[in-house]
Order: sequence, then structure tokens, then C-alpha cells
Amino acid sequence: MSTTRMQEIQICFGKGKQTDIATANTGVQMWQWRKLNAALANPKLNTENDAEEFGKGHEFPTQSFQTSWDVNGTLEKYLSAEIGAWAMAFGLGKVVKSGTTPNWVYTCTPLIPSAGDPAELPYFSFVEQIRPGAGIVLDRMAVGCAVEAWTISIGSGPGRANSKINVEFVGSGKVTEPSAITMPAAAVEKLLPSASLALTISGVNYVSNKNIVSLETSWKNNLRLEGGFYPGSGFQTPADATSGAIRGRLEFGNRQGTLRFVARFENGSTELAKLKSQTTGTAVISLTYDTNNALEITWPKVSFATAEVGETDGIVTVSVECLPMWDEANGIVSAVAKCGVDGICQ
Amino acid sequence: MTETVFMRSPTGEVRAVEATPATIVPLMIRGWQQCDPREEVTPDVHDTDAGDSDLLRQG
Repeated sequence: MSTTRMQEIQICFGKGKQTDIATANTGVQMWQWRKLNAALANPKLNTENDAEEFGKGHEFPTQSFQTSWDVNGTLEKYLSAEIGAWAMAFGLGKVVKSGTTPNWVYTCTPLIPSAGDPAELPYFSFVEQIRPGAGIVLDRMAVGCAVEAWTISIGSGPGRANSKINVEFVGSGKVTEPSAITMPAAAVEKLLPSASLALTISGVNYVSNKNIVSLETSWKNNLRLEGGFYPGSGFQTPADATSGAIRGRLEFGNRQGTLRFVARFENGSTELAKLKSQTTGTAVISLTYDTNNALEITWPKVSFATAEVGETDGIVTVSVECLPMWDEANGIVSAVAKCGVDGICQ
Repeated sequence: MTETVFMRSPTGEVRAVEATPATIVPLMIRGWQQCDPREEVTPDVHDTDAGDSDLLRQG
């Protein structure tokens, strides 16, 4: 009997957005990627039973009921222009596309409901396959997924692992098995290595002064999972009330942005002074493959929430946690992602 | 020549703007959305007098 190795897992997901939470992406809207983590986006069926009901004569369950479905997963990848553009577009939610082949530009900001934007992020379908077809091991598609969070981590060192992105996502619970999706050819990625970093925070260029050690920036949507189950939200099998409820919406909750970095601390370093004075300024993080493939994230207004002096490999460093704040002109965060792929989140 | 994109305000105004973050981002956070250039010339079609032959004869 043959064994199945995890390296056989293939994933693809919506490059374009679904028309609504219940309508899956088609195969031509998807792209295939490799990933670094083995974790699967396992659908979880939640059940309940009648153990606590009176009238049975005992305390033991006699029946079990399918109540609802959950899907969640994580994508861990080396950061590339393509996955960066996808994560910014689907994770922040609002996208303006400009440019032409091979230089598409996706300008992304968070949705602002008070300005009339929806409270739901764009949805995508996520497919996992191991030997689909006659020798199937696994072939399923989670429909109606939304990005819960993304985290970009930049470290010191030459390897690809020093520039990574993690994307967490949550599904509506709707699962199609088999997926009926023909896996597209694997996408070619333009990696955005750590060595390409440009970084300016509150007027300090941490790359030109050669002080940056590591950086992490993230966005979390805090999706309202329970709010997805409302009267009429639907079932796994349409019109089958015994098949378990699925979510009819995934609204974001109180969103949070973070920016942390570690830099060498030396004579003239301003981090502690800025912490005391609560100076605000702009943080711009750029990573570049070439003119047409890059990612730039701007936090227009940050102050330093903490700044602690410590050490990294025997060198005195300062670890800073920034507080991103709302800027009246430019909001909380924006991202400009350039890549050669058309139709991301369109 | 600077590229432009078409943006629609929450009130329906359509404007061609420079496709630069400095121009686009302030609009995006105020509810403007990217739209089709054709939307720029459509507001009149729902007017009650749209297609009125008398209007066509004017001017």
C-alpha cells in the first residue's frame, strides 16, 4: 500500500474575487502556489447531541445533530510580489488597479464603512488536492473564504526565509467535494528578498544607516465569525436543514495594524527620545524585485508605543513597537503592490 | 504622461484622477471606488426627460 507524502499537496485559490460569499471561483480565476506549512484547511463539522434533554429516562445521548461548519487555514510563504499583492488586496479589502502588462499596480486600503464601504471583505475559494481523480486522496474546495490576517516578517540574513508572509483565512463553512477544479499551472513568483528592503520610520532611514535588524508588520481583521450564522444564513447542502449551517457573511470586527522592529542602538539613536515625546511620523516599508514587481506598505502616522534597549548577537539594539494611528488624509494604512499579474481581486 | 483611473464618489460623482497613491489613497478612504470610464457619461439615462425628442431638437 502506497503512502502519501505531504509534499504532494497542491493548493490553488481565487486570484479574482468571488461574486458573493456563496458563489465559488471558477478554475480560470484561480492560481496555484507552493507553500511552506503542512497544515491543511480542514473543514470542521460541529455537532451537538440530545444528552441534556429530558424525557429519555437517562443522561446519555441517543442522537447527534450536525449544527455548523468551520473552515480555517494558514498560508506560510516566502514573500513575493504576487502573494504580496494578493494578501494586500484581499486582506485590506479595497483595491484600485492601474497600469498595464507587465506592470500592474494595485493600490490597497482598508474598507471604511463610515465612508460607505461594505463591512465584508472580498471572498475567494481555496482548493486542496492530493492525487485528484481516480486515485484521489484529497480534493476539496472551501468556498467563501476571507483573509483574517497577514503578517510580513523581515529578518537579517541571505536566505529566502528572511522575507516571509503568513496569511490566515477563514471560510464560510461551505465545502465542495470533489472540488471539480482542474489545478492550474503553478504560478511563477518574483521574490521580494530581505536584502531589497527600504525602510523609513519617522524620518529615520534604517537601511541607509545600516541599523535595521528585523521587522514585522501585520494586519488583523478580527472577523466576526459568530455573526456569520444568522437566521437564514444557509446550509452545507442547500435546502437540507440537517446538513449543518454555514455562514452567510464574514464581516470584519475591530481591525488592528502592527509594526515592530529591532534596530541597532547607538549614539544619536532617537527611539527612546521619540517614545518620551510621542513623536508621530510616517513609516514606509518597501521591498523590490524589479521596477515592475514590488511592495510598498505605508503607515501614515505612527508613534512609538514601547522602545526597549536590549541586545542581538552581542550588539546593543532597541526593540520598538509602533502604534499605527488614523491619519486624516491617508487613513490607517495603504499598500501599493506591483506585479505582472492582471486581475488580482477583480 | 501620467496614467489616470476613474473613481466614483459615494454621491456618484465620477472623476478621472492621477493613478498615484498620493492622489488615490485620500479618495479611497473617503469612500471613492474605482469605476468604469463609461460611467462618466451615464447619469442622464435615468432622467425622466432622457430621450425626449423635444430636448434633442434644442440647440
